[in-house]
Amino acid sequence: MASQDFLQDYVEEVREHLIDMEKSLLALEQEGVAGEQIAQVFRAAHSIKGASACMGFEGLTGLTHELENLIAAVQSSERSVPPAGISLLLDCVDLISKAVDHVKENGSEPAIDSSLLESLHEAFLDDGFSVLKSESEVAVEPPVEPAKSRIDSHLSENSDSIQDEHSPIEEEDEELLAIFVNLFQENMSLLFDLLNSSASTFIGDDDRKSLAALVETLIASARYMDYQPILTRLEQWSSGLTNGGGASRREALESLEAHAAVFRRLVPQLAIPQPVETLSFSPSAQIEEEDQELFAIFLGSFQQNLVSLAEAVSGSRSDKVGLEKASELSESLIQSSKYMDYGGIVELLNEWLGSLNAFKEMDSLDLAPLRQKLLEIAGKIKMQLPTLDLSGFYADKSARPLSPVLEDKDDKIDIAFHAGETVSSSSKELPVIDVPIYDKQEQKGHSPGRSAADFAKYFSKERSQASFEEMPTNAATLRVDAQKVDQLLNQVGELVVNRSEFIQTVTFFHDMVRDLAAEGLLPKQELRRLKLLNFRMNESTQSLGRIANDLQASVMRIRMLPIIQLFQRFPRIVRDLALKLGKRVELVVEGGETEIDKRVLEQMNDPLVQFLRNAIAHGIESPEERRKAGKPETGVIRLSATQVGDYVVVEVEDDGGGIDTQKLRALLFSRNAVSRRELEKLTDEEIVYSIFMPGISTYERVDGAAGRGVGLDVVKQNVERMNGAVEVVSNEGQGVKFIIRIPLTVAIIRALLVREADQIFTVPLTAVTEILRHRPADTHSIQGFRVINLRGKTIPLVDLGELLNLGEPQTGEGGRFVVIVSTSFREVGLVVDGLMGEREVVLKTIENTFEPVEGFSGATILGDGRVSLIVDVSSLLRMTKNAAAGPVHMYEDDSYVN
Amino acid sequence: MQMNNLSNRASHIREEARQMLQLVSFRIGHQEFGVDILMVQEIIRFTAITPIPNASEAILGMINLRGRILPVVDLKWVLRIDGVEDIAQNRKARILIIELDGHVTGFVVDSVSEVMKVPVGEIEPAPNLVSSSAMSAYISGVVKLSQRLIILLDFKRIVKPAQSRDVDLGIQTALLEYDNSHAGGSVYSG
Repeated sequence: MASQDFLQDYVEEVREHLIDMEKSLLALEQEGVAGEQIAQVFRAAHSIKGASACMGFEGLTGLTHELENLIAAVQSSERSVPPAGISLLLDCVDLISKAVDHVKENGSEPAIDSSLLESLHEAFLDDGFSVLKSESEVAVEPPVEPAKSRIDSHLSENSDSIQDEHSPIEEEDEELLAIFVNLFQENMSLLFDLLNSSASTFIGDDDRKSLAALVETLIASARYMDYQPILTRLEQWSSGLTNGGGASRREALESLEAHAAVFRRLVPQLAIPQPVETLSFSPSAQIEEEDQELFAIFLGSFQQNLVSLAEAVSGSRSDKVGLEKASELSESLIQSSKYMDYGGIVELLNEWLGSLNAFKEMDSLDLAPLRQKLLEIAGKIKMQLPTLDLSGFYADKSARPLSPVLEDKDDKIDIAFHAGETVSSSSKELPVIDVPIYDKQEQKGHSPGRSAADFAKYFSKERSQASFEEMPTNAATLRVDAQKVDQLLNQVGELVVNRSEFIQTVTFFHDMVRDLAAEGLLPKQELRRLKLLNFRMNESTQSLGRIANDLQASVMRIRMLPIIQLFQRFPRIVRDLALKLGKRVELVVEGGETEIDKRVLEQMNDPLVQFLRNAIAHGIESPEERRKAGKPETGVIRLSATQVGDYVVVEVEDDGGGIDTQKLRALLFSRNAVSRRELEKLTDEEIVYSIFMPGISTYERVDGAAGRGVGLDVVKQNVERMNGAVEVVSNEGQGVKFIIRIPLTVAIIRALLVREADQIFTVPLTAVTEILRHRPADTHSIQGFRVINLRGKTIPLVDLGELLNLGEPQTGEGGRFVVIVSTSFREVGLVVDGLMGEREVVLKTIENTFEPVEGFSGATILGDGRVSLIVDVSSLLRMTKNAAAGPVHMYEDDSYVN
Repeated sequence: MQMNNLSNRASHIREEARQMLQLVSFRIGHQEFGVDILMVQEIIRFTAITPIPNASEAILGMINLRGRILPVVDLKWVLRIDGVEDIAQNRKARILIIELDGHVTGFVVDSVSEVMKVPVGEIEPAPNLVSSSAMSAYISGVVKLSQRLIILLDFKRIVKPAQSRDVDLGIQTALLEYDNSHAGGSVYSG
C-alpha cells in the first residue's frame, strides 16, 4: 500500500500529535475551560486527520474528523468539558495510538471501533452540547490557517531581505563584521605563513598559486562586504601577482606588509600579524638545542601559537569560544615544549594555564588582567628563548582600540555616526584612524542619513533575521534512524581507540630516536631527519587527538535528547493511577530541558514509572488522611532533573506520609533479615535503604499499582546496571524523596582500570568509593571471611582473581590494592594486583549468544586494541555472596565484630 | 533458434550453480571440515584473545574485530578432537568469523585450506561410524573426495545457546562415562 518510508514518517508524526493532544487534555482537565488548550487539541486532531487522509486511512480520518467536530462544538460553546468527556477523549488518544501501532506493524489501519465515538457523543450531548454537524462544521475555523499565513509572510520578508543584499552593508551588523574580520585575519596570517614558510629567495610556482588563491578569497570577502577601499587595493595586488611582480620573497613580504598596514587602518578590528622576521638560528645561551632545524620548526610553531593565543584573549570581553581556543592553544604550546624537553618553559606555560583556568572559573568579563598575565609569561619565556620573536604578539595588543566601543550594542547607532571621535578619544597612544570604515557609506553615495527609508530597511532586516533564527528550530531538524547514529558512534569510538594506538606508536618512535641519538651510531644528518619527522608526527598526533575528541563529543551530542521527552509520558500515568486509587495527585515536572543520552532515556522509563507508582500508591495518602494531617487534599509529586557534572540527577519526591521506620524495623526483625542488635545500631536514615531489599514492603496492601510485580530491589538493580545509583531520603509525615543519579551517557563512562593476574578489568567509577593500599597486617579474619576495618565500618575483602578463578596473584601480598566498591548499602573491598589509572571508556556489549556472561556488564577496547571486561558491581556482589556461602552485607558482618 | 539454445544453456548453467555448494574447508588436527561459504563473514589470523572468567571451556574469550567485541569459540573443544597443542604458536591458526541470525561469533581452527565447489548431490548423510562420536550433533553431512573426507558442520547447532548447552551436558556426561571406563581399563591393564 503506502511506501514504508512514508509510513514511518506518518507514524512518527501522528505520535507527536498524540503526545501534544494528551498533554493539552491533561492541562484542560486541571484548568477547566481554556481556549489555548482546546485549540491545541483541535489542532492536533486536525493534523492527524490530514495526515491520515493523505495516507488513505479512512477509519482514522473519520474518527479524527468526528473528534474535531466535538472539540469545535466545545470551543464554540465556551463551556468546560465534563471530566467524563476528558477521560473519553483520552481513550480516543489511546485508540488512535493503538491504531497507529497497528499501522506501523501491518501497513494498514485496523477496524476502528465506533462505540467509543458514540459514548463521546452521548457524554457531550448529555452535558447540553448540541453537536449538530452542520453547525460544528461552520465552527471549524481551523486555527492552523492564520499561523500558516504568518509563516508565509515571514518567508516573503526573507526573500525581500535577500534582494536587499545590494544595499550597503550596515555597520550595525556586528556579527557579519566579526565574521569578516575573522576570515580576513585568518587568510592574512596564511599569507604571512606562506611567505615565511621557506627560506628560499624566490617564490615557486606552487606558492604563487596558493598566494593568488588566498588573495582571491580576500577579494571575495571584501566584495561581499562591499568595502571598496580594501577591494581596490586587493585587486591591484592580485593583478600584480598574476603579472609576475614580486617574484622575490622579500619583495612580496614587503608589499604584503604595506597592504596589511592599510587594511589595519581601514578595519581597526583586524589583527593582522606583523611579519615574522627571518629566524636567526643562533642557539640561545639559555636553552641549548644543537639541532637547529628542529629548533627552527619548534620556534616557528611556538611563535605562531603564541600569537594566536594572544589573539584569543585580545577581545574586550571574555567569550567562551575565545577562552576555549586559548586553553587549546596553551595545551598545544605545552605539548611542543614538553616534546623539546624545555622544562622551564613548560613550567611557565603551566603557570599561565593555571591562571587561565582560574579566570574561566571566575566568569569575569574583563580580559585585561589575563592579557597582563600573558604578557608577563611571554616576557619570561623570551628570557629563556631569546630568539622568540614577540613583535606580532605586541602588535596584536594595540590593534584593537575600537572593539570595546563597537561591541557595546546599545551604542551602535551612535557609533555609526561618531565612530571617528569615539576612537580618537578612547585610544590615546594610537594614531587617529583617518579612514573610519563607516565612511564607505558616503563613498557609495549614501548620506549617513537617518532617513526613514534607511531605518525601515534596518529594522526590516533585523526582523527577517529574527524569523530566520526561529525557523531553523523547526526546519533544520533531521529525522535520522537511531541505528545510524549508533553506528557512527561506534566508528568514532574506534577512531578514538585508534588514536591512542597511534599516540603510543609516536611515543615509541620518540624513544627510539632518543636511543639512537644516545648511541651515536647514526650520522648527524640522518638523525636530524628522524627528529624532524618525529616532531611533525607529534604535532599532527596532537591535532588528530583534538579532532577525534571533538568528533566524539559532537556525536554524543547528537544522541542527547531533552528529558522532557520521557517526562511527558508521566502525567497520564499519574492521572490514571491516582484516579484508580481514589487519590488526588498533582505531578510537577521540573528541568525537562536537561539533556540525556537517548539510550539512557529509554532505560530510565521503567524505573521512573515504578518510583512514581510507588509514590502514588504508598507515598501520597488518601484525601481524608491528608485532611486529618492538615495537608492539602491534593498531594504533590515533584519530578525533577538537573545535570551535575557528567550525571543527570532525577528526583522523585512526594509529600506523603514517608516511610514508617518503626514498622520497617519490626518487619526486618520478623523476617530475620537483621539481628536485633543491628537494628538498634542502625539510624533511621540507614534503615530506609532496606526498602531496596527483596521482599520488603511496609505496606499491608498489595495492589496492582505497586507492591507487586517489579519490586524496588529490581528497580535499583536496573539503575545500577546503567552505572547509576539510587538514594532515598524519608521524612516521616512529610514524604519520601528518591534521588537517582545516572550518567549522561551509557556509551562512555569514566572507569578505573585494574590489573589482576595478567588481565585488565574495568570498574565503573560510579561504583568505586575508595582505593586503599592492601596491608595484610590490617586484615582480620572473621569466620573465614577476610575483613578490614575502615573508619569503624567492617568491610569484607574479596580477591578479584579468586572470585574469577584467575589463578594466583602475580605480585606479593604487599604490593596489592583494595578497591572499595559499593552499591548503596553494601560495600566490598576488591583486592587487585595493580591499578592502571582512570580513563573514559566506550561501553560495548559482548555479542555472546553462546552463553550469558556473568559478572560483567559489557566490555571495552583499550588503547592497544585489547578487550577489557567491565565489571558489573551488583552482580559481582551477588557472586561474592554466593562465594562466601552466606549472606554478606554490612549488618551481619558488623554483628560478628566485638 | 540460437537464442533459444543460448537461454537453455544459461538456465542449465544456473541450474548447475544452484546445485553446487561452495565450501570453506578447514582443518582441526587430522580432520578436515567444511562450512557453507555464505555463513562465513571473514577469516582472520589468530589474534590476542581476552579470556572471560568463569565462562565455559568452549569459549576462549573475546576479540576486538574493528570495534565489535565478539566471543571466540574453541571449535576443537566443542568437537572433542585433538588439534594443534599451542594455538598461539601455530602460525596457520585462523579464526572463522561466522554470522548467524545477525550474531557474529569467532571459531578457532588449526588452519584454513581452500574454497571448493561441491555438487549438492554428493553430500551424504553422516555415516554411523561418526554419529556415535561427540561431534555427531553438529554434523550436517559428509563429502567424499578421492583422497579426503570432508565433514560439513552445522554452526547453527553449535551456536544455538539452549540446544548447545543441552548437548554440552549430554556430551559431558558421555565424556565422564568414557573417562571413567577408560580409567578403569587402564587400572586393569596396568
